[in-house]
Amino acid sequence: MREALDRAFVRLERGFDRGFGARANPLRHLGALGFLFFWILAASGIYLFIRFDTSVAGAYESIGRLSREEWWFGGLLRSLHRYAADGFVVVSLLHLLREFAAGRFRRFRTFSWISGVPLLWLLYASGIVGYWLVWDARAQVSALAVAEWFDALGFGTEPMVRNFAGAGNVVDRLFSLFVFLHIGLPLALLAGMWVHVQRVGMPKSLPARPLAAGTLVMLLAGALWRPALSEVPWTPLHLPGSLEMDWFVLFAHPLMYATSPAFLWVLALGGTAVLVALPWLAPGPALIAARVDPRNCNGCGRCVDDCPFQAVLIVARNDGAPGRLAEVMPERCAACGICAGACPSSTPFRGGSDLATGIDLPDASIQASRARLETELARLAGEEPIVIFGCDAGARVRELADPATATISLRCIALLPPSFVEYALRSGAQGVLIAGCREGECLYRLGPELGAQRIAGEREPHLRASVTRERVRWGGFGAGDEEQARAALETLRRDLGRLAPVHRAPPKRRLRDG
Amino acid sequence: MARFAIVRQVVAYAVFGAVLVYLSHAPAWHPIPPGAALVQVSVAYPGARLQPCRKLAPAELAQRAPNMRAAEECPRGRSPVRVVVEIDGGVAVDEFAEPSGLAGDGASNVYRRLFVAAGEHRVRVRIYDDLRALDRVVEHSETVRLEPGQVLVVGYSTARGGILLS
Repeated sequence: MREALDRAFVRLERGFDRGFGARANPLRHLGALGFLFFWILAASGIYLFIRFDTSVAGAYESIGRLSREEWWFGGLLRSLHRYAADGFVVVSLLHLLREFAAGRFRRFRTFSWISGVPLLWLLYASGIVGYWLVWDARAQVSALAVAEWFDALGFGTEPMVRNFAGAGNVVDRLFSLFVFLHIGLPLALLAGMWVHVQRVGMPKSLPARPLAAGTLVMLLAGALWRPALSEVPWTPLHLPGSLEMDWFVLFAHPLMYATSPAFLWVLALGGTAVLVALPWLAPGPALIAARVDPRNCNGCGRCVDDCPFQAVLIVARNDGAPGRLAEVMPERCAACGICAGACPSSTPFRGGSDLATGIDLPDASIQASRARLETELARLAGEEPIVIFGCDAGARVRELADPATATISLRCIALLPPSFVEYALRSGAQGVLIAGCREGECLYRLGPELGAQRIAGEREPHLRASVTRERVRWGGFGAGDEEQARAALETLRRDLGRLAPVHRAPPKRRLRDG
Repeated sequence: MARFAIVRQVVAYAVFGAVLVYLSHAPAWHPIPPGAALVQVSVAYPGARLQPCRKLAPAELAQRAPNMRAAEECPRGRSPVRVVVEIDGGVAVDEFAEPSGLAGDGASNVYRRLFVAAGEHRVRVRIYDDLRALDRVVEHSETVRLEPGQVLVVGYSTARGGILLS
């Protein structure tokens, strides 16, 4: 079921790519959109708070006045506040569903997954209390429902619902509590969001500008089309026969009255327990974490900079040698090898039959990659031999192999040190195609981005300037994009035909060994 | 990006925005059935003490610290309370409530909500505060006329004269 859901998401995301491009595709940036909605809520909420009268008599009127007399600003902000809250709920739930479908809830993702669960509680609590501030009939029904829900637990000496049942029970001080909650809960939510991204390297906490602008315009258009208005005032001894409901935020109230408070508690607590337990219920395959070789690590910190999950630290050496070295926290390690690709010692030009690098994957080492490359280079033939470096999660580059095309598929394209490209070109390849996965589809978040930056010379370790750029192509090809990869290969081969051939030499290691 | 990318974006934003705005308001929810009124039974009532208070003898008081010399000593613990609400002769609520508090010496609380058809109803409320003596009952009967959507709160207030229908 999870795989089917994942496939559905991938299809949908790729469909949206055609309209938005990967960088502005809302489905690929649900978490960042959540942050954007939060900041829209905070900005609009500050103005609403300034104009809000925290009293039983004044609350309803102060909010209503904004919509009546200041619809073009205060009223618009009020509607924006409402729709941003709804949008926040939608993207949060989609974000949760997407991460689940992609299996991004276990192993090295466990912390981010679990720290996201309480955010749902805080999100709903913030939204529901926000509705109470309006002090209309919807607030009345909502407050009663929440009070009845908590009373079902049987704690406390007096039922909470008695605060709202009957006339004259509500006092102005209650509004101070509401305001405290409606500011305190979102602040706790923000703190939780900060914690949520703590084990994510280079978190994208704001969407690209086109996406942010499009989202804001959409919310403003909605606010103008259908302004958020109050219901009739709260009347303690009268219930409205019909209420306009915000089904995103307040759906739990009708659900509780259609079932029971106990049912809602079981659903909420049971759902929370399942979400928290999920990393252990479906742990997935064990991973072999990256290892540091103190003899080859100089503590430069590039692996720390590039690790997508903040699994690498720089610590003082404890072997008596001066300086520092990297240290891997295995429980956080995705075993993607991006750190090995970033390590300056991961170069195939180094001599010796054992190519030990500062940091490496025990089960997919740089030495093994060099050996595979050399084997492939040795069998290459034809006028324009090409080496393709691919990504295991992207297009199956092995299907493109032929006598003139060597293919090396790596766990992540950023596991490829740029020096491998130069090595291939110096060892007889006329061109190199680097086929990473599609933008936004990296299992390890940053693979294509970091890999492309290194090849473009924007990030260390970079591809040396002496390498002829016309011989190197970068492309993003997701699973199933083999034909697009083949087309890119043919284009490169055709373009290489227009360049003077480079001298082809067998790999140096084979010379040394031979 | 594909051709007509901007058009695709506008369509996607419009569809999402329309769904967002629509579900933010609709469909309407009916918290109370048409033509019905809500009766909220919200009674907080302290049950009878399980053991009576005892007046302390002067000798006993003298043994105590000056700030602890209350004239009576009342053991904690109260009886559960039974609340019965009849509407038009039928039993709508018949509930036993344990006393609140860790020591069981707080008020017993009963909260129930029930819908009745709008119109005239005879409401009879009985509160039994000592399950060892079922003749100890506080009782109130009243005929009320309820409009559609009206909320009738059945409560208890010593200060306001006992059982209240408001």
